[in-house]
Amino acid sequence: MSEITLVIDGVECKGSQGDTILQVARANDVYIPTLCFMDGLTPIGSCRMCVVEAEGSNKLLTACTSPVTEGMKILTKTDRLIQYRRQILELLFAGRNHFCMFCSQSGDCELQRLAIEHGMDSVRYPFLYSDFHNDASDPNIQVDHNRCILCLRCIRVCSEKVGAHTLDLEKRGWGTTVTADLGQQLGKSETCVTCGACAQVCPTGTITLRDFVYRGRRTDCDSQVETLCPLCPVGCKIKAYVRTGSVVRVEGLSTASADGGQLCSKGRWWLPSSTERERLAVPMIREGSSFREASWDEALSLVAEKMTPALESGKAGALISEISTDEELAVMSSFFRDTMKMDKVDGFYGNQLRGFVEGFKPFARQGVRPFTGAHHILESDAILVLDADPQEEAPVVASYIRVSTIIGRAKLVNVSSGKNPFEGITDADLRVSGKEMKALLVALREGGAGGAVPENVKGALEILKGAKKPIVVLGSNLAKTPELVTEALNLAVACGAPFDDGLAVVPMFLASNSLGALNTVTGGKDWLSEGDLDFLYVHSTGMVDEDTHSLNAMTRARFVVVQTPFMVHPLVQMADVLLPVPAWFERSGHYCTLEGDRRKMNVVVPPQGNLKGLGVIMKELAAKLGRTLQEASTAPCENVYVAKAAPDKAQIVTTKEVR
Amino acid sequence: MAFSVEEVREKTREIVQPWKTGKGGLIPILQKVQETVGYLPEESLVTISREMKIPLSEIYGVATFYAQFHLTPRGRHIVRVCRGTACHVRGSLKIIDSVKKMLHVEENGTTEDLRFTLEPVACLGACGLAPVMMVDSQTFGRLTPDKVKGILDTFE
Repeated sequence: MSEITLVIDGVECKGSQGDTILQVARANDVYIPTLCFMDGLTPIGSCRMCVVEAEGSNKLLTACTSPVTEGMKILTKTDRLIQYRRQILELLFAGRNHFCMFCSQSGDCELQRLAIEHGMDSVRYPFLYSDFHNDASDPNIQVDHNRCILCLRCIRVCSEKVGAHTLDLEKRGWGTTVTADLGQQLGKSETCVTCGACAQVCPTGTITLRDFVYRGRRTDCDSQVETLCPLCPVGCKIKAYVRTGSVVRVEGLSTASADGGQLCSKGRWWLPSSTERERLAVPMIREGSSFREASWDEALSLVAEKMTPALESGKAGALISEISTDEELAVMSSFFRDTMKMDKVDGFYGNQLRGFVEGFKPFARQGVRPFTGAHHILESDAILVLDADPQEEAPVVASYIRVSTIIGRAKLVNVSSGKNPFEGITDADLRVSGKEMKALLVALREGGAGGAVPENVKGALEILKGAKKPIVVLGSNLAKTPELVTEALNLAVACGAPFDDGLAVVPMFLASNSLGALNTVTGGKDWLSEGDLDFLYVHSTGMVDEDTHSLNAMTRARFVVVQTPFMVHPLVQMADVLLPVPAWFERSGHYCTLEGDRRKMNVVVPPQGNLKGLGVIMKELAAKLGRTLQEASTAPCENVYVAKAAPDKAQIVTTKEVR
Repeated sequence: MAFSVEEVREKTREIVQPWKTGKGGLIPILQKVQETVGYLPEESLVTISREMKIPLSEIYGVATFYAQFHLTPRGRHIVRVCRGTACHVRGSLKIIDSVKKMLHVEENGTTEDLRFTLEPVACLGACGLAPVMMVDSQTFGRLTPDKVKGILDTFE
């Protein structure tokens, strides 16, 4: 990339070939007002707020779309430009309903901010008082078209980042509006995934999220904390807004990042609502059909008293949520495994994880990292979805798949026993039963060399053969049969195009920190169904519902300790002792994400009252049991599947060696 | 020319076929579908979306942007009555009114028997013949309200 030197407002600036004037100006701290521009979305230069003058040219240039050229002399703040910008703002204000005092976004609004910045104290044009529709059909998202300035940010984020492309323009000229699908109201749209990205990028009060509107504007908030969403293994980076001790809104961090700063519907609505859920504030001990409050000392003494005999008889178990941070998992592992020498320790998703691990084993032995960062789906030209439903499992992965298919023109092959989650954008759709899956994967790997290929498989085969960068998405269902996981990885190896960080495989782990749980709490086998326990210690984060398998084991266990931040039903009914722990917004630590990096979770709201951190609780419990909490003997998750061999060195394995 | 839903889908699939590889096919496809079916029915748009992997909202955006596309059935004959300045001065309002009364339709409306669609236009460029109307590709000038019926009767 050749370097380009130009002068902006008298300051000598350096940029690269292909940079826009706006990029270079921002990199050099020169402010140019923008409105339709948004980092990470395709610039369209439609609002014309960013117009600048170039010496030697009478034509105004839109800074967000004009590339820099050598020796350019750019002026961004001439009287003429300021006049033009103000005129644009006045026209926008005259066009629709921008009477700020009646708008929930007043104070949070980019249009309003620009008007103030440009000293726009009056509008010289007659107001049109156009009567557009206020679309209240969606229970969560409100669209008041009267406040729309047609910047197209919502349309671009919906298309380029979420891949739903629910929104687009309807009609032309004055009558142009943003619409959903075939001119539907948003609430009736079949493609909308209710992720709220459109509202996050809306610069005015057009698209708003009702939940957030009634909890206050961004500018009303006491603090903003960058952290991550702990609900699924993608671990989206988020900004959490806090007002009077509550999380009142969450937003994706940056539209310029690989994940496009999007959140899924789970993160967007569940995270802020969690601060208003019923908390468990003090330890509680069961008394008949209800609970009574107890001191930490009394509760922990009771736990220790019940735990001791169970330990001796080998009938003590511990179930730990894999939604915990690395640090929490290390503490739990060191307490139960290293200090108490228990072997009945597992995570809620133990079986699923073991299935994946078993399937990965032959490749881990070769020193190859058996999967890649999920965002690499965006770089693929063929995506093979194997019995997965990413919109449920990890919705942002579904966004990657849609974007790659619709915008990147990647081919999509779906193989599943049930419904195709990507109907309408699939190039080859294969319906197979669990039993036929292996034969199909082998046939796809061998490219039809092993014998006659059924007609419908041919299409999929051609797609994989023609692909330069194919990627395989493994559904969580597949983990039930490790052999299929291995065969899927074999197929990825045979395609011969790994990514730098590992094989072109994205596994749908179900818990957000499955990778962190792997060598800490996840056990070697499923002991939950192996007979009744005298003592069961359950650590829940209260973020997802417990599965029936775990709940049944709790019902059968004689004494159950439940650690949880929220009064989660039916979990708390199972407990004999309830111990409060900090909730997601009160904790810090690390998660090993599907994106391939270790992300930090930060304290959003400091814990209140009688809460103790997990480390303290376990240390005190160890003391009650007459032990000292041992240093964790297990390594944190970054050592799991560390690549010792380059992914292109991976060899195909026979599935005979896999159970 | 009325097709069943399945026929519409089948015809749309045939039209889409040559455009499936490469970009830039949407407008020619929409034109061809409209030429074949008479308008752009929902089933056609959904079929195009699936076959071409173009989001439905994008197709809808294009179809509503251009005046040439119609999302509702149109009559076999299009009656375009001019209401440009010259025609207005020479009584085009009365012409439009008589067409409306005769056909029982509003502006841009279609008769129930799908025989006529009435479309007022800004100017037909034949001001010397004002007031003017066109039925399909035939132009009729120097109109008076009582001439309208005779003209329309000749179109089946």
